[in-house]
Order: sequence, then C-alpha cells, then structure tokens
Amino acid sequence: MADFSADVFQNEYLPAGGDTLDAVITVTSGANVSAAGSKQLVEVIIIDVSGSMNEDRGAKIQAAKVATMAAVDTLDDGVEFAIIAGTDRAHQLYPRNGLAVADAGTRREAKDTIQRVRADGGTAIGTWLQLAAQLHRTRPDAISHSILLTDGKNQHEPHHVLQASIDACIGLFQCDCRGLGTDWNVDEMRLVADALLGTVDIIPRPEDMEAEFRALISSAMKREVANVALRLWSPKGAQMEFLKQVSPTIEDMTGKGLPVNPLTNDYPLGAWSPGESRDYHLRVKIPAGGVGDERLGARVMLAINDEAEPIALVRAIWTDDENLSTRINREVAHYTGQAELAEAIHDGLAARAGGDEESATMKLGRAVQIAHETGNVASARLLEKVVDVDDPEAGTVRLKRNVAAEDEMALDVRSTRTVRVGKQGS
Amino acid sequence: MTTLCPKGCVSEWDDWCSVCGDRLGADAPAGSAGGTSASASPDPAWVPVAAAAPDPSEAAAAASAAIPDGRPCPHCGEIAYPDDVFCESCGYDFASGTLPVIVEAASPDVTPAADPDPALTPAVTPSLMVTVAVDADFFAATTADVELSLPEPIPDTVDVTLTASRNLVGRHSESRGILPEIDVEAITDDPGVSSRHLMLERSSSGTWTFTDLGSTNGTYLSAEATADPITAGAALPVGDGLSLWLGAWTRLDLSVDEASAD
Repeated sequence: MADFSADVFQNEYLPAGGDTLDAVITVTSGANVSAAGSKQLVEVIIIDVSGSMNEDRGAKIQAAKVATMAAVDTLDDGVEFAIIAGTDRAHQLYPRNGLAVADAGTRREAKDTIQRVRADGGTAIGTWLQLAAQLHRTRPDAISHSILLTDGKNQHEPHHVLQASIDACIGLFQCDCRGLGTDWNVDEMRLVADALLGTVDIIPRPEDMEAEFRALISSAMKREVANVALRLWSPKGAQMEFLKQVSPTIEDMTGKGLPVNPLTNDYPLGAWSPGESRDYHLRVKIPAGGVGDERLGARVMLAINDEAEPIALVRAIWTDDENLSTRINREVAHYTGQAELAEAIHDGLAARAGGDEESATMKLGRAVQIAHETGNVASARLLEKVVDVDDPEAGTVRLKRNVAAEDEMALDVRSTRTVRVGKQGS
Repeated sequence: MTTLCPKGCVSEWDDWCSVCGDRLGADAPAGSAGGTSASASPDPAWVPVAAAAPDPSEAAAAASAAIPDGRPCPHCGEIAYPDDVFCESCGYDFASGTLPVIVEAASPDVTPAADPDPALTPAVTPSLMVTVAVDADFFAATTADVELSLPEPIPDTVDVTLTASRNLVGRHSESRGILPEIDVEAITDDPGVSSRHLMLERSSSGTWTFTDLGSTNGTYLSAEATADPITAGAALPVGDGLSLWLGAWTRLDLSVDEASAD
C-alpha cells in the first residue's frame, strides 16, 4: 500500500445537542508513493486550431505551435502521447491513430506535423474530449493526463453535448484547461476542469504559452500514482454537509462521492506525485450524543485500486464545558475564510458585470479585507487591478472605471487559489 | 471478526462501532490534550484512555465466572446444571444474583391496552419483532458435514411479536417442563437448538437484550463458518436489524418496534 499520511485539525468538543463536526484534513504523500500501481504516463495534448487562432496576424496559432512543440520536447522517453487538433470536430494530428511512445524519432515527427498545422474552422470542445477519451481508454491503468487549450467559446455544438462528453470522460483522465486571451468562457473551462480533476487558468499573452506548457508537462510527469481516492466512512444517520479540497485550490467534491457501502463513499483525487500535500475541509452532521459521549464522526481512508488504509479519525466528544465546545479550530477558521474570499470575488465580479455597483463594491471590499487578514497576497494583488483600495483592514474600496478584461478574468479564474495557515505575510 | 457495540450494532472494527460510531473498548486513540488537533498516521501509536464506555466482554467475563458448577441454587437449593445461567426451578439469575421480577410476568394474553390504569405501566414498553427462518446458507457453511439434512419442504418463515418482558427461545421439553415462548423446533424443525437456548428480555427502561443461556451449539452474530459464538450468560443489547444464528439452520431477525410503546 502506498505511502500516505494525514493530519486532522478539528475541535472535537461539541455542546450538548450539537451535531455538526468540522475538520480540516491534510493528506500528504510520502517519497515511496509509487509503490502501488503503474507509473506509465499517457499525455494527450488538445490544441484549439479554430479560425480565431489566426487573429493577431497569426501570433496565436504560432505561439500555440511553439508551445506544443516545447511540450513534446519536455516529454521523457517512454511517455505515451498523442496530439489532437480541435475545430468544430476533432482531428488526430499525431500519431495518425493510437498513441506514440516518446523517443527522439517520434518527438521529431510530432514537431514536423505540428509545424504544418493551419487554423481554420469552429469550436466544438465536446468532440475534442471524446477523441481524447477514446485514446485514454486504451490505457486504463496509466496516469492519464491531458492539456486542453482553447481561445474561444464552445460555439459549434449545443451545451448538452459538451456536458455529455465531459461526463463520459470522468475517471478516464485528468485535464488541465488553459484559455488563451480573453474570448473564452471561464465557466465552460471550469466545468471541464472540475469534472476532470484539473486546473483552469488564463494565458493572457501568446508568448507566455510555451513556459506554461512546459510546466504542465513537468508536473504531470512527476505524478507517480494514479486513481487515488479519499474513502470516507460516517456513522449511520450521518449527513455529509460538504467535502471540499481547500488547498492548493478550492474544489467542491461533495457531489462526487461513489458509494462503497451504505456508510462509505470514495471521492476521487486523481493522480499524486511524491511529497505532495493537499488540504480538505469536511463538514458532517452526525446523530447528537449526550454529555460525556464520544463518537466517531468520520473515518478517513485512502484508497488506491480498491485497497484502502485508514489514515485519520474525525471524532466528537460532547461536553457541557463551553470553553471547550465554543473554540473554533484555527485551520477550520482559516479555510472557511478562504472559501468566503473565493465566493466574495465571484459574487462581486458577477454583480459588477450586472451593473450592480453597490453590491460589487461591498463584495469586493469584503474580499480585499479577507485577503489582507489571511495573507493571501496573490488574491490581494489581483483584486487591486479591479478596485482601488482605500483601507484594506476595513475593506473600503472603490471600483475602478477601466479594468482590463484579462485582469478581471485572471481574478475570476484564480479566486479559488488559497494560502495555508501559518504562511501568511503581514 | 465482528464485535458487538454497546448499542447492539454488529461492528466490523474493534475501536469504534462501524455502524453508529460509538467508542468500543479502550483501543481508540486519545485526542490531543488541547482539543484542537489530532493526528493519525498509517501506524498510529494508539494511546489507551480510561474510558467509561461499557465493555460487553467485561460483563461477559463477570457473568461466566458467576455460573455455579453443579452446586445448589443459592435461592431455592435446586441443583444447577454445570453451565446453567438461570436456576431451572426458581429462575434465579446466577449472573446478576437476582430473581425474576414476578410483577411484570403478566400472562401473554393480557394486552397492555387492557390495563385499567395506564399510569402504572412503564413509560416505554416497545415490543420485539422476531422473524424465525430457515437459513440454508448458514447450514451449508457450518453444519453440513454432520449427518443432518434440511427439512423438506423448507418450513415457512414465522413472525413472532414479543410483548412480555422475558421470553425464552428454545426447544419445548415436556419432561423437563420447559415451554419456550419461541419454540424453534416447532417452527424450523431444527434439532441443534437447546431446550433453553436464548433469553430475550426487556428491561424496565424498555431496552431489549439477548442472552445465550449456555446453549450446546451456541448463538452466532454471523452466518460465516469462521464466526465465534457469543459469550454465554452475557446480556447483550438488541440493535437495529440484528440477526442471530443458532442451531443447525435457524436464523432470528430481531427488530424493536418502538411504535407499540404506549
């Protein structure tokens, strides 16, 4: 069994009649995490080659070619890979079909093929995902990863086709989504990335794309164990209020549980690299006990290919000592704040887009306040491009008159990035 | 390996109940002193805690120690069988040293509704529903090598509702004057059930318990061949959806009917 450990941060003391348990669980993979399962990486790169990529006098398509060739160069020998060119349909660019095994020869062939690509046509992201799924399906035990690059909205297929295509990909591969420029839709890409356990980000300028692609491939190649799941047991009568990944980014996992038995669910975590650490915030309602009772609220296990080992316990002790039961755990408070920050940014931007300046000022002001309090410097900087900050402690801000579209999108897409407790600057 | 939790659930774990989450025994890890964080690793150093949680195995040990060995009953002087838990003559409970409460032993045909003064009846008197069935899988897993065969045709399942506070489950014996409330042999034709096999009791607080009375072939919490019988003499709580296996092919499904608590 792989090498994982966990720390639980919680206030296990509940008042009489109290039934809600909050816990932050930090899961860390050890150096020998690869002991379980295969280390074979399958990488399918999906590049948007629709007509809009010719904008900026061809700068976009040229940058996409350079970035994809850089990605191919970054692949280690032995990685199985393929490249898909996407328009209103999916077209496999390299190899002609199936997967190629990376070596000097295949890398050169792939780059030659990429060089000759011309951008033309529409955007139907669902068809691209379907082709990627077909390729990944042939290697069920591998660490399956894709990069999806687009510069536009999903215009040439109905939304339900995209949704159905995403659903068909769940569990087959993980997908990091990147939007080039500002004409793509954050919510659409987030839909793909959330379902396929990946990230979303904006690449504002074509020239930044090469470095981004290299970084994505490098981090995919560090992954050594696939199909990890958080297995959660809760007692009979308990109700899962929510389960969120809260670090490095906020991802709601509540609806993603796959039942193992009536009291146990598996929440897929995707692939892990050695020495990685992620935080999860769990809130569970359990049947209340009497003062002095002790009950297990959740048993946290780590499952890989149906082998599970317990890594943490979330407990409840009922007490009539208010000093104990009213205490709020520092980690739980911190991540509750980070979740509120992400929500305030999202709501503030939505209000701003809808012309409701009063709500937008209030929400974004609150976001500035939390970012300042919790030391989320990255979010604070992004917020400063959208609002003028008068007093960060009080959250007094004024909306900027002219905001660059890319700054607004960057704030939206990166609002879910959190900082950890104890790492705050001042 | 299964463990019975204080509430009567059948738990797969021995530190916490795998059904209701209650603490079992002293194997659970201690929380940190500050009450703000606890940490567990794949190989945690479990720190035992002086837990106040009732431990069924302790009660069982105390009970089996109290069973007299062919000596006279301290109450009526009747000679007890070596593994008897109750005196066959007067009903004296060797484990707890108490006599059966005669006041509650109303004849079964007097329904609680007929009680002239409802204020005198205990506040909670849930009845116990017992389904008696032939379990061919249990027979195949445990006793199939013995020269026995299942009755043909397989007798129908019978539902019994117990409203009295003490109910014997066993095999009827004219010669010894044993007339169980649930006569298993009459229902499932099971020869492996002892005359005085199991006692189903409701306490004055309304909790139902079951006690193996030192039966010859034991009472089991699982139909698997590897299961161990429950400890004779220990009164164990009846949990929701509990099933017991006894004899060669009998299964009892127990459920407490709170609705009849009036």
